Amino acid sequence: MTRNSAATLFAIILVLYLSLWGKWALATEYELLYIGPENSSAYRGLQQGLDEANHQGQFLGIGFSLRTMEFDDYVSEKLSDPIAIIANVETEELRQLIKATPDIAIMNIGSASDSLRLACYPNGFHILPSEKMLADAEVQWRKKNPNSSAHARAWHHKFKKYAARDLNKRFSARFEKAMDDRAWAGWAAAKIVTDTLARQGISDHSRLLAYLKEDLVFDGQKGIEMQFRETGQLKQILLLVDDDKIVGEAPVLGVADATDLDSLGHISCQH
Amino acid sequence: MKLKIVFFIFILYAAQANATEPTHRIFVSNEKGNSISVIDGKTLGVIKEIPVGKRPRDIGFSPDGSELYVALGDEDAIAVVNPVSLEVLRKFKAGSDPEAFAVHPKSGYLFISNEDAGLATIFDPVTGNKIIEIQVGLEPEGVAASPDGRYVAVTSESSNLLHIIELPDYKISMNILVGSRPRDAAFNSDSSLIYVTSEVSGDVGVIDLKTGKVIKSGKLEDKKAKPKDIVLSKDEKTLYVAGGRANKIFVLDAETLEVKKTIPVGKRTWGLAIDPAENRLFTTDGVDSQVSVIDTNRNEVIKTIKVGSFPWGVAIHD
Repeated sequence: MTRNSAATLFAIILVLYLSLWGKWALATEYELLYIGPENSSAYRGLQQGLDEANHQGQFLGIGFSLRTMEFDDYVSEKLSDPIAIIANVETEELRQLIKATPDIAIMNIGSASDSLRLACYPNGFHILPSEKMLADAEVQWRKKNPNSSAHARAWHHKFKKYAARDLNKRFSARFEKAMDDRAWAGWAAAKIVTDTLARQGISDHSRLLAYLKEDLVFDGQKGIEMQFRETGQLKQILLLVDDDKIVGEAPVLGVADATDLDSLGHISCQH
Repeated sequence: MKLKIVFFIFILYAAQANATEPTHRIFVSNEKGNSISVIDGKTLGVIKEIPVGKRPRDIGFSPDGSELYVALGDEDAIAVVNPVSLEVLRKFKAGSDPEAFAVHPKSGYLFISNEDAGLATIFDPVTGNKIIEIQVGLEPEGVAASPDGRYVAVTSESSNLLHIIELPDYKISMNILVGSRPRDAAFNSDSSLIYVTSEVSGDVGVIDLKTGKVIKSGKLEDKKAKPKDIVLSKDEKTLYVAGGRANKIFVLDAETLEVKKTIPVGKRTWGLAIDPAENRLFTTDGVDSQVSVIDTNRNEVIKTIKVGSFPWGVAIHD
């Protein structure tokens, strides 16, 4: 072998080695499945959450992508199992999805229906506050402020505390829209799934489901750590909003213990 | 020739005069008071409240103790204060919304977290020049420099990461997922371990710098605990953690992370500074606009001192 061809061979081996090494060193990629309309507040929130997950992921060698489908297409096509499904669909469609894919975590960002919580599906995770949680928050609020016409919300674009200001700023800078309840739910669903995947190195959808149910501790930029109840509902503080102004938070101090998130909504499956 | 020698001696003298004798004063930044409260280390009385600029948060000294730096979030600047004469000497622009910083023990450079921009920015406080900026996770907050000067740790709150910047390259060499909403970090004396507090998960994690792994984590079993500042005692056996809205200081065994005691202080306690010579710990209790003084032998509050509005950071000139 001449000196030149030896050098060429060495160069080829080097290039091969580097490209393979590059592959191994490349990010672990996760694909999440979104079912619902793209032109929606919840979807924008989901994109924001995914962006933030990829920002985190660049430091950890992990990447996330999103596949989107309409509900009817998902039902007619047979897909290989996604790691998790984020669903922005109506109550009955969600029920169908949950039943059709019992070992995949379904993150509900479209329905506040109490019936979905009370059914205690093992794979249903409800990010939006339930109707009962919203009603309980308003009852607590009116005990203290009988003449107030405030309504309970999961989120508000003027919310500043607990670094909510930072999230509102990031969202409105990207979409030129105010972040609302559904946008927050989309963002939270993305962050819950992606932070868990990054943290636990989970590649299996049923392991992800078990972790979310048992071990999740989530920072939803609302101060108190959040977990899922056995009903699948995400515990969270709520905001009382009157005339586009935040007038209070629930649990309402003086009426309930401010850290007792269980004063809002159905808390267990024993009923 | 003679003139040259005189000049040389003058330079030597000037260099020596530069290393400031410690005043043992305690400096407190008042986030809403836009001021620094200066406390006498002996009498524990407030000597002076210095107007410093808008939204002062983190504070710290140059390695030789000749200058006090104050991060002014709403002025995008660092104020430089003379800790002896108590004059504001100058200000320099320090990137968007500077919140916390660490002073590098060798170069004296400031490593600043710019919360809005998701950056750690390094400035030379003498010239006010930016040395380099480093992209980190979302909402960077706590910054700590290792005693040996090799590492600077930055927490990013919304990405749940602890970034380790390694010197002299200013490159991030490790990214470690820690508890939810990490807020502050502290090194041990031989720069082998880092302790990190996380606000939302309410825990303290210990990271081994050799492996970059979380080797231990302990939860503060108090629902209201939103841990912020963390300091290590001089004998490295005890950790003190400011409990935020739990309105108490958690005293932890540094080895096991067990809570040995809690010390009730004022409302929303965030800042901590320890004075090993005097066996004292100072806390900033934001909502009560006061500083609590704790005797670290007995772990009890011995005095509370009224300061400016919403105290945030505290540093001891020693």
